[in-house]
This record gives sequence, structure tokens and C-alpha cells, in this order.
Amino acid sequence: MDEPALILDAQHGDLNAFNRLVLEYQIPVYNLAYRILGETDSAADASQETFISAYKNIQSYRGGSFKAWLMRIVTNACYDELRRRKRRPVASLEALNVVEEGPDAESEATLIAKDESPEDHVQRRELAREIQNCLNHLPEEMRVVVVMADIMEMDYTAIAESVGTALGTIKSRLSRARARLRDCLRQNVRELLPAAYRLEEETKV
Amino acid sequence: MITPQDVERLSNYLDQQLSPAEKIRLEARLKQEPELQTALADLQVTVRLLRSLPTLKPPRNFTLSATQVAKLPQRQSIFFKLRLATAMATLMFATVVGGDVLFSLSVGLRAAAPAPMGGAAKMETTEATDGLSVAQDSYAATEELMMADATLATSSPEAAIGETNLPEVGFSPPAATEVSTDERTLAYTATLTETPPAVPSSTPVSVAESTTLTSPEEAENQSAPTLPNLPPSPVPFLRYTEVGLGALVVLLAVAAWLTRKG
Repeated sequence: MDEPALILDAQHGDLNAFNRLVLEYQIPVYNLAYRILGETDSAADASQETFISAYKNIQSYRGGSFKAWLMRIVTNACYDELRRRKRRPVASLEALNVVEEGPDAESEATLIAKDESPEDHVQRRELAREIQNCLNHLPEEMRVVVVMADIMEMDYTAIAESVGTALGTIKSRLSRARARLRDCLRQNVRELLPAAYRLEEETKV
Repeated sequence: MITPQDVERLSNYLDQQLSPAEKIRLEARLKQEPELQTALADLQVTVRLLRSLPTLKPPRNFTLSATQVAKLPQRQSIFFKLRLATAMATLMFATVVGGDVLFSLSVGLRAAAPAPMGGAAKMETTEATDGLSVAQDSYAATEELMMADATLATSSPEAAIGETNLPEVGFSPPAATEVSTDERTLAYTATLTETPPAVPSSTPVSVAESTTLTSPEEAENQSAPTLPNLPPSPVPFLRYTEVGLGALVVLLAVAAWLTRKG
């Protein structure tokens, strides 16, 4: 994919070129939105809003990492959604820690690997769900940073740019988020941890 | 004891964010402090767990259709129209407020200016003097009447000579004029008949008339500070316009903001 050429064409109003960029980046955009918002519908809405906003404002894109530019837009869309929730709080099933019946985002996405038993697959799915629950209980400013750093594996500078905060603040938020997640996971997922992850826990206990 | 600063150092250490000096110091501590080693191991497990989370497949494609794109400029154009209307309303509001301020300043200056004030006072004095001469005539006539016949019941129309200053000459005006056969009384009645009718007390003439029985100097002093009546002020109309325009600006700004938000 010739990204600069596609961006240039999109800037000249070529919708097909823009849609090729959408197909390229919709997975990271949706994943970031889902990990921050914790709900499939909200994440899909935020992702769609991100690409609409990107199309409207593509003239203002002035080079640099297109992915980082999109990540900034989706982060803002997620902040908007979180603010909306604060104004009009609704108790979602996920927020109430009620396990949804039927397929959910984690189970649909995590296909059984070739070398994985059905039991391992179920355990991995449960673990992913518990981690997401722990993420949902973090304060939003910590959640955004830890999702970007440890799930999306963005570097500190890109995170600081996306969030619009100083590097020192990012480091501080990340360490506090990790410490809180450690405590949450220690409480809730000890029995779900695979052997490789449990080693340090057992030596400590 | 692991402090929050230690956790931050460990977190930065995991991401290679420590300076070489800080890294050497922390590694030296790690060799000596098992508690710090455990804390580091816990953080490593946490980060590994987070990184083990699966990549999710989006529930649908987010590609934009031509219909979606066609709707976008329309909303933008509404937004731009609202923004333009807000700007114009703001400009009108500023103009009206500015005009109001200038008008108020000009009125203030006109009232404070010495030349027109002097003119007004002069005109006032002239009028007061005219009124005063009438009053003096009445006063003299009354005195003559009193001297000629102390028992004569004299009356004067309340509207012409006022009610307040009569006690100075030692009598109260009766309610009705008594007809006398005395020539002087007839002359007095004729004089009173020529006196202009009562006018509202706010006019300069009435001020002069109300001081009928005071001395001429006092009458002048009383009439001098009186200002001429100004025409009805357009200020209330301006106030209503300002409030209306201000409300319009706020409404348009809110509508533009809501359109932009979505």
C-alpha cells in the first residue's frame, strides 16, 4: 500500500483512496476504542465517528504518522463518549460485571489456535474478559494510557501527543495504572493465570 | 517497603525509560532487595497479561459510503450558516451597545456643559422674574387689603398664589373668595383674575408662583438650579434591543455548537 499516495488522493476527495486507508487502520482504531470504552457498540460508534472526522479533516493532516493521527482522533472520540456517559450515566451489563450470554467481543475474536485445547481456549477467553473488567475499573486517564502503552504498544512520545499531556505525566499515570491492574488481577484472576504467568505469584506466596 | 516512586521507577525500567545512572542504581537495589524483585516480577506479569489480550475483529467495516459523504457538507454548511449568523448578530449587538454608550456619554456631556446650562438658567430666571412680578403684585395687593380693613375676609385662589407661604403674613386663605364692595377688593380680584392659571409644579413658572410671598432674591435662588425638561429618553428601547440581540447571539452560538457536535 502506497500510504502517502492514498492520503494525497483522499485529500483531493478520492473516497476510494480514503476507504483503503480505513480498511488498513480500522482494526487498531476499533481495538483502541474497545479497550478504552469496554463495549462493542460504543467502540464501533467511536470508530465510525473517527473515520468520518478523519475524512472531514484530512486537509488538516500535515504529514507524520497517519496511524498516530488516527489514534489521536479515536482517543478524542472515546473521551467524548466517556464524557457523555458521565452526563447521562447508564448501567451497562459490562459495567455491572454481568457475564453476557452468547457470543461477545472476546469470544468472537479469539479463535481457537491450532495447538490449543478447548479448555485452554475457554480459560484464555475468561482471562481476557477479567482483564477487560479490571481495565474498566481504572480511572479513564489511566486506562487510556495503559491501553495505548501495553495493548496498542505505542511509544511514550506518541501517547503524550495523542493524549495531549507531558511525558512525565504519561509515565506517572502508566505506573499507577499498572500497579492498580496488578492488584485487581491478583484478586480476580489468580486461578485463571496460565502456569507461565503464575510463577512469580507462587514464588511470592 | 515499596513506595509509589519505586513502582514508577520499576515501570520505567521495564520500558527502558530510565537514565543510565538511574538504571545502575535500581539494578544495584534489585540485587539487594527481594521485595523490589517481587514487585518488578509482578509488574512484568501484568504487562505480559495485557499484551496477551487478543486483537479484536471489528463487528463491521467502517468504510464511508458516497451517501454518508454527501451528508457531511450539508451539515457543515448549516454549521457555517449558523456561525455566520452568530457573527453578524454579535456585530449588531456590539454596534447597539456602542451606540448606547456614545448616546449616554453625549447626553452626560450636554447636561454637564456650562454654556447651555447658563442659557437654561437665564431663561429660567427670566420666567421666574415674570412670575415674581405677578407674585409681588399679589403680595402688595394683599398687604394693602390687610391694612385697609383688618376684618375684611380676604381670600386668594390657591392655584394662583399657592398654599405654603401664606402663614408668613399671618393668615390662612379661606376656601372661597368673598365678594366685597370695596374698590380695592375689586381691584385685587381683577388682579387675581389676570393671574395665569395653575400649571404643574414641575414647570419653571409654577416654581416661581409657589414662591409668591418670598423675597425676590429667594425666588431667583430657587428658580436658578431648575433644569429644562429633556425629551423622552430612547434608553428603554435601546435596552430591549440590547437584551434581545444578546439573547439571539447566545441562541445562535448554542445552535452552532450543537450542530458541530453532532
